[in-house]
Amino acid sequence: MLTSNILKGVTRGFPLKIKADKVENVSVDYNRDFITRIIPRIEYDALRAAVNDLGLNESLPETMPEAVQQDDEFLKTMHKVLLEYEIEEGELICPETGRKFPISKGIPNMLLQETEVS
Amino acid sequence: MSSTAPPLTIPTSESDASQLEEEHVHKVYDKIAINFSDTRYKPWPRVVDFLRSFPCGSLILDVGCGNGKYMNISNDLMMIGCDRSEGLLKICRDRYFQVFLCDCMNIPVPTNMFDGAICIAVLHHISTEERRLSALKEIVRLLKPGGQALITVWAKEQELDNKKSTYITKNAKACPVHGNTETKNELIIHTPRTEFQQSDCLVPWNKPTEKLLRYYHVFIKDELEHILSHISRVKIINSYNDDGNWCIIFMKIA
Repeated sequence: MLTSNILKGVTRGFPLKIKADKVENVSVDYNRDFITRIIPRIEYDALRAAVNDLGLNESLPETMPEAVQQDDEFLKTMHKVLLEYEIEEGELICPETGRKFPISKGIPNMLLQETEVS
Repeated sequence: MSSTAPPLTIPTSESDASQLEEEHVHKVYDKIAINFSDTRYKPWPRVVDFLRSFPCGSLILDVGCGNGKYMNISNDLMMIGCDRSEGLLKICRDRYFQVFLCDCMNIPVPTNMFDGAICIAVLHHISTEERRLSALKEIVRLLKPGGQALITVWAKEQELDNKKSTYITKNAKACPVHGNTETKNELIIHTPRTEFQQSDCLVPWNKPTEKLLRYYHVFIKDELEHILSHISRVKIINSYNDDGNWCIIFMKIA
């Protein structure tokens, strides 16, 4: 999920929407310091929308809690959502152009056609 | 190469360049991915030092991550990798690394996003200077101001200050030396474990008789600096030779 929160489309299209056909769960060691430092980099609204679109069990509050560092429950949810869900099959969709980037075996294919390259 | 095929030449147009890279870089890596990965497991110490210099939680992009040998050297870094070879990326996914498929001249990430980037042994597979410049511009674009990148490329000079690199000291027996064809535009087939005769060449994978030839543009001293001098907001922090490779660390300035 984290990677999909960072990728962009052909031009400015960012963040991308996710359509998932197959989601896998992996287990990643919880690193509190790490997740605390990663959170400010995240496009929170996009992540929250993705969690809803994918129908994950976790739910994220409408806005990020103010005291993130003290909110262990929130940190653990973010850890799970960002690092423990892997989209194995599906697509990333550019919000501007509608261009679809397929995800196959967990690898988003972001290659552009020659005509798309400026 | 069959005897009837015309010799390959150094590309002069964009379409020639991308065709050459498709045939002699992308397709070859997809074919050799597993074998390549089995022989490329040892991280270079100075790349590891560079990555460990970043604070916890730093977001780092590995441009041309290959089998991902730098993707898990620290649990404190958020490493994301990209590569042009799907075969190599599949190996990364088996190891649960975060990767995506793209071309390094068009990296689909926002501007000013990453704290750091590495691009290890990648640029020497790009076949025109213009394309090497656009790949470096992409790395500068995606770095945050203050972010740093380490770039390494294979050096044409495999012997510096009378010291031979590991690559040519591993030379098992004397090899025939090709004539100097530098003045022609032909891509010569390099004799493995010998000094390079010219910058643009085809390097056989494994055995000299091997049909799988990878395109290389080996860099001369100061060539990376020269390309970077065409890009604004770049400040070179360190530049060195590491066992037959030219390496540069630069910062994106505000």
